[in-house]
Amino acid sequence: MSSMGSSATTSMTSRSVHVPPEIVRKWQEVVDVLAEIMHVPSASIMRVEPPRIKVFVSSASAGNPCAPGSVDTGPYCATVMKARQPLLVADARANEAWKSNSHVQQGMISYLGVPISWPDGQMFGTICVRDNKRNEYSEAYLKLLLHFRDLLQADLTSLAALHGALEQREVKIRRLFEANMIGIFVWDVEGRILEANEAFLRIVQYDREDLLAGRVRWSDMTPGEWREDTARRVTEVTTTGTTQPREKEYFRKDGSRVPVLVGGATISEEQDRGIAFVVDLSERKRAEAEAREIDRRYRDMQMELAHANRVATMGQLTASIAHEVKQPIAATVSNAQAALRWLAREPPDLEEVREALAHIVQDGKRAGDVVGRIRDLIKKAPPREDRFDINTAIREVIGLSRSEALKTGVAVRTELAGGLPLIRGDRVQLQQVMLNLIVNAIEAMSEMDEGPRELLINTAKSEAGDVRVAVRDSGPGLVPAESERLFEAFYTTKPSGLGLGLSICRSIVEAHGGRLWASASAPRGATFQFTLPIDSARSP
Amino acid sequence: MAEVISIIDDDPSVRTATARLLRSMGFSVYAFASAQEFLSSPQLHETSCVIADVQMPGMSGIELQEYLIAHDHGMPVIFITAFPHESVRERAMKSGAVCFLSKPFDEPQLLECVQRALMRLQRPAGPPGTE
Repeated sequence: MSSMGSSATTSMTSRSVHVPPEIVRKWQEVVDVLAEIMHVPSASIMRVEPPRIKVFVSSASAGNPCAPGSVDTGPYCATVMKARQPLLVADARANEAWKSNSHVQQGMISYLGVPISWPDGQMFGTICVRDNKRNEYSEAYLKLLLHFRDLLQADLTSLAALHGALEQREVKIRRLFEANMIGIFVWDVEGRILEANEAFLRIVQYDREDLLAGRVRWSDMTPGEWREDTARRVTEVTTTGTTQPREKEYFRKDGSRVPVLVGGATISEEQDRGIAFVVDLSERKRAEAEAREIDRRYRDMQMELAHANRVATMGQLTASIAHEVKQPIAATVSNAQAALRWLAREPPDLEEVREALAHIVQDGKRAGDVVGRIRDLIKKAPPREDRFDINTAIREVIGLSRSEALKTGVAVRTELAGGLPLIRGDRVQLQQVMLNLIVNAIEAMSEMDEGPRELLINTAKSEAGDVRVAVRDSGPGLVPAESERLFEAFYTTKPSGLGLGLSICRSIVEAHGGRLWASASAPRGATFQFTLPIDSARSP
Repeated sequence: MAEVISIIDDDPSVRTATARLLRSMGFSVYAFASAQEFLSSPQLHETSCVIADVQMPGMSGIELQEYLIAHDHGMPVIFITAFPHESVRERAMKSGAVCFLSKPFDEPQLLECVQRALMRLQRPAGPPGTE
C-alpha cells in the first residue's frame, strides 16, 4: 500500500484547523459518489478529534448507519490510523477479533478504509466504506479509494498552508500588540473595545478590569466634537479596509482629554471589526504650545526693546525737542503781548491785533504738532500699515533733530527726489529708523576736533524700482570690514550706549521687505542707506 | 524819533512775533532770517540796536557780535535764546552784550533791555564789561 513518511515537525494546531463549508460540501459529494459507484450502503470520511474519532461526512445513501457528527465506536478506523495502512475486512464474522464489534451489530460486516494525513504527517482521519454483506473489495476499488484520499489530502495541504499563513500573521500582530510601543486595540463597529494592549490602557488610563468588564468603549471615549469625524472614519475603514492615521482626542477614565493619532484597519471578512493603532500626542502638543509661547515672548521682547530704544533716543534729544517746542511758545507769548499793546492804543490798531491772533493760532498748532509727533515716536503702538510719502516723513524727523544739529554745528542738507511713489508700512517705525541714523551721524561728527560737519539726507528711486534713503555724514567714517558688525545687537562704540539702535533699525527695515546697510564714503565719513520696496508688504 | 531795531532769528514765528511786539512798543523794526542777511542789508548802518538769536545756521549770534565789534559797528546787542547755556551767556556778556534772555522772555524785561541799550548810545562808549 502506500507509505506515508512521518513528518519531522508536529503541529499541535492542525487538529483545530477549521475546514471551510465549501470543502465540506465537496467532500460530501465524494462520499456520495463513492457509495454509489461501489454499491455500498455507507461511505464516510472520519476525523480524529482526540481522544475520539468522529464521522466528518457520510454518504446520503439508504441504510447508512453512520450519522455525521457521531462518534465512531468501531475498531476499524482506529486500526487504520494507528498502522497508517489501508485495512480490508471482507467478512467480520469470519474473524475472531472483529466479529463482535459495533459495526457488525449495526449490520455492517465488511470494511475498506485508508488513512488521510496532513502534509506534515499528522493523522486527519480516514476515508472508508462499509457493506452489509460480504465484500472482497477488488483492487480497483482500493485504487479508487486511494485516489479520493489523494484528492482529500490535496485539500488538506491547501488548508494547512492557509492556516500556517494565518498563524504567522497572528503571531506578528500579537508581537506588535505585546511590544507596547504604541497603543493597539481591537474594535467593533458597535463601539466596543474587545482587546487592548497595556500601552493603550496606559494612554487612556483604564485598567484591565475595566476592559474585561466591557467598560472601555471607543464610542464613549470620543468627545462630542469628534463624533462626526469619527463616524466618517468608521465608514472609510469598513468600506475600504483601512483608515489613515489622523488626530483626534479621547476622554481618559478620569474625564480629562488626551490628544492622539489614530489609524486602523479591518480584520474580519465582514469588515465589522478591526485593529486600531493609537499614539499619544500629549508630548508633541506640549512642545508645540511651548514653542508658541516662546515665540510670543520673543515677539513681546522685540516690542519692549524697540520701545526702550525709542525712549532712549528721545531721551538723547530731549533738550533739542524742548527747543522745538519753545519757539512757537515764545512767539505766541510775544504775539499776545503785542496784541495787548495794540489794543491799548488810542485808537486800537485792530489790524495788527488780528494778525497777532492769527499767528498765535498758527504757532499753537505747530507746538501741538511737535508734541504729537514726539508722543507718537515714544508710544508703544503695534505695527501699522499706512500709505505715506517718505519725503514728508523725513522732513518731520529732520525738523525734530534740527536743533541738535545746530547745537553741534552740523549743517544739514537734503536732496529729496520728487515724484517718489508712496510707501506702505509703519510710518512711525520708519521715522524711528531715520531719527536713529541722523542722531548717530550727528553724534559721530560732534566728537571730531576739526573738519567740516555735514549731514546729507537723500532720497531716490533705485534701479530696482525701490525707494532708497541715504544718510551721509562727514564724520570719522567706518572700517569697511566692520560695517556689518555695527548691526549686531549689543554692539556699541559709545561708553554709555546700549548698542541696540542699529539692530532694531535693521529689523524694522527688513520687516518692511527692505535692506539696511552701511558703507564708508569718500573722502570721509559714513553712509547709512536703506531701501523700501514700494509695494512694501509687511511680514506677518 | 523811532529808533531802528533789527531782529535776527532764523525761526520765522519768533522773528515776526518779536518784530510785532517791538512795533507795538513804538519802535521801527526790521527783521532778518540770518546774520549774513543783516550784514549785507542797508539797515546795517541805520540800526540802533540788534536783537539776535544765539543758535543760527551759518554765522551764529556770538559770531555776529564779534564781527560787529571787530568792524567798529558800535550798536548794542541783546541776545534771546532757547538754549541758555552758561558758557554761552558768559561769553556773550564778556563781549559786551546788554542782555542775555531766554525764550519765552518777559515783555517788561525786553523793554527794559532795549531802553538800556538805547541809553548806551547816548553815553560815550566805555570799555566792554564795565556796565
